[in-house]
Amino acid sequence: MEGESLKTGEGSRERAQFLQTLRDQLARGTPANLAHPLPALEGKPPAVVYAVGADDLIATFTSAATELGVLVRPVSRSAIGEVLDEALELAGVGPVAVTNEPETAGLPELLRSRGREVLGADADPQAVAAACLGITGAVAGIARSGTVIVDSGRSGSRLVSLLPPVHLAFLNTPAIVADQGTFLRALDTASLPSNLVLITGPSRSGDIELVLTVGVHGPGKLMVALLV
Amino acid sequence: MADFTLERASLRERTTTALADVALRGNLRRATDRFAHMRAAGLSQLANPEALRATARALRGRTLARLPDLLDQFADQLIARGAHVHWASDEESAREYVAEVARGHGVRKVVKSKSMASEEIALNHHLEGLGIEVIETDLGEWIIQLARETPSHILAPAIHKNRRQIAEVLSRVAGGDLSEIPSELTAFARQKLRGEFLDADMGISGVNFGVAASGSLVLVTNEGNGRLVTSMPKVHVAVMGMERLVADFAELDVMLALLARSATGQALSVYTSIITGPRRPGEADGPDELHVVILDNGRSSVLGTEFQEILHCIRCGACLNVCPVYRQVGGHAYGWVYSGPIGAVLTPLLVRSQAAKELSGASSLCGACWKACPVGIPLQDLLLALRRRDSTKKWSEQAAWRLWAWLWSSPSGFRWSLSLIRALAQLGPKAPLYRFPALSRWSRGRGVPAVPAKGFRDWWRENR
Repeated sequence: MEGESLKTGEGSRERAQFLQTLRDQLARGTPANLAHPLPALEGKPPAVVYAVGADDLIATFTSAATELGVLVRPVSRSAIGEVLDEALELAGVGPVAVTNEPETAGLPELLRSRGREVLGADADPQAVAAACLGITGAVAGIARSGTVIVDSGRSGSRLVSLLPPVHLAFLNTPAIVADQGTFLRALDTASLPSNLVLITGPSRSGDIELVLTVGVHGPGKLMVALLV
Repeated sequence: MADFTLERASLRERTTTALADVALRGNLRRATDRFAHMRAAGLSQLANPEALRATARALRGRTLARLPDLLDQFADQLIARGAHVHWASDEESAREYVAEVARGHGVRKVVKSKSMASEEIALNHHLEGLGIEVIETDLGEWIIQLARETPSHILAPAIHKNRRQIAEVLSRVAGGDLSEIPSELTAFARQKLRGEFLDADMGISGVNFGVAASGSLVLVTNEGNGRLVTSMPKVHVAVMGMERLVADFAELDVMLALLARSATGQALSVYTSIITGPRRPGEADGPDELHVVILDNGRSSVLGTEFQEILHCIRCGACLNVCPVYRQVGGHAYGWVYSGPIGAVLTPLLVRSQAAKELSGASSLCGACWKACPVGIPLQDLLLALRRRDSTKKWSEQAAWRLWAWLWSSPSGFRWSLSLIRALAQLGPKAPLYRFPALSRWSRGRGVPAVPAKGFRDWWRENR
């Protein structure tokens, strides 16, 4: 299936048949709904307009994320030890999983100096699941929704931000954009990683009487260190 | 497992059962009210929700008009990134393919995240028949799987159960009594299901949106189970209804701005995953194989018809929460996977059976669903069109309508028929007249209106 001609490869007959059925149906000409006619739109859809502005990106990010229960900590590079200590206290005892990204540089040493066992992104899933804390970088943040974005191509791992009960993400403040649209519309479709995840708050569920509970499958606690 | 009641009981029987269930109605009322409030709060963050809905409706229309080309592009992109694509024209083809992939990898255990498309094709049932263990991992879906029931809401499958009922179900699995506190029940689910994730050989998910430009699968979950299902097992199979496409990320922006807000009032769901192909070299985790099943299963027969717009649906569940019928009877009364106004239209179009035709009657045509729909589907128009399509054309009924039209087309016919009605009405509401079958079906459960002995025309002649 790899490489070989896309139109003649495995399943090409099924594809042709499948799509021909659709073309034949559409060729019948969909009757218009006269009571509520379908609006037309040319070109790219206009940007989504929100009720309030997001001029101060850091303040908007902080208030949106805090509202979701995210612990947002502005910190300078030289003082990241403080954020780390707070996260470790939150997470309790156990090993810590850390990805190897620009924002997380130097963290394994800091953790070891605090007597913690450090797991890399390539650690076994069982081991990552047993970690008390997962630390990753973030390729971008979205101010309006308080979202951090983790890129599997860059972090090398999907599980470090997912399996441990606490997730600490380091986000460079210049990487914060106003809206999801700013981020999504600028994506280069040719060079997408295999997994890009927009994380908006701690893992939550409302499946029991719509009562909000956190940490059902992913981390119940999310902390974002804003590198200023 | 996929034990739907559509063919076993009539709509009247199903609604009667639901209406008699006092606990169900309490659970439903509380849940749908909260959903509706959360949605209102979410939409208030948009400057002009109406304009955005109109844009979204136009986009969905444009996508369907170009669906074959977009699917072609989507599949090319998927294959270029190392994914496998299966074109399933019907449910059997989809099930067979998934089973074949499972057999090829000697799969014994499957973890699944919520997917309406896989419910539609009764995939769990099929795989279990082959001796494969299938575990639903969305908390609500897991609860109803354990209770051997079916989902009653697109978003919150166990919405019909309260915490006491849920604690009972989970206590059976725990082998001991669990408390009724939601956070403790959730903690139990996390611990129990975590083991299953680590153990599973295959993950099955649905797809919220496919992006044609890049072959990306967009998956939206709050719990994180969608991420686990698509990251931990070695094989990931995604089942996607063929209409769930957007052309590019600009269109995705519009859809995502509306989806979570309409569903739960969130700006974005907790996890929006954009999956583009299987694991790449150098990545520690992620599936080695990605299979995408593109499902027709009756959808193409809706293209090019007056019902085409039902394929615009993005499965947010907003129409369920505002529907005066759904709010009383819940999802099970609809008898199949899709409930509420969307189900009342979609089911008769996808399931070609006499039983499904009744569903278009389960609506007051009030249009609340249309007002709530993020992509502005005029559901009441489609329900009416379905009634027109499926009405049983009895000669007696047609003759009666024709007689009425003829009488009321002339002043004398109009006058004569009104005096006849007045004369009959004076016989009283219990008159033998109302025991004629045609009238008794109508007057049962209704008060027969009192008709004054003298009409307006007579009064006018005397008093002007």
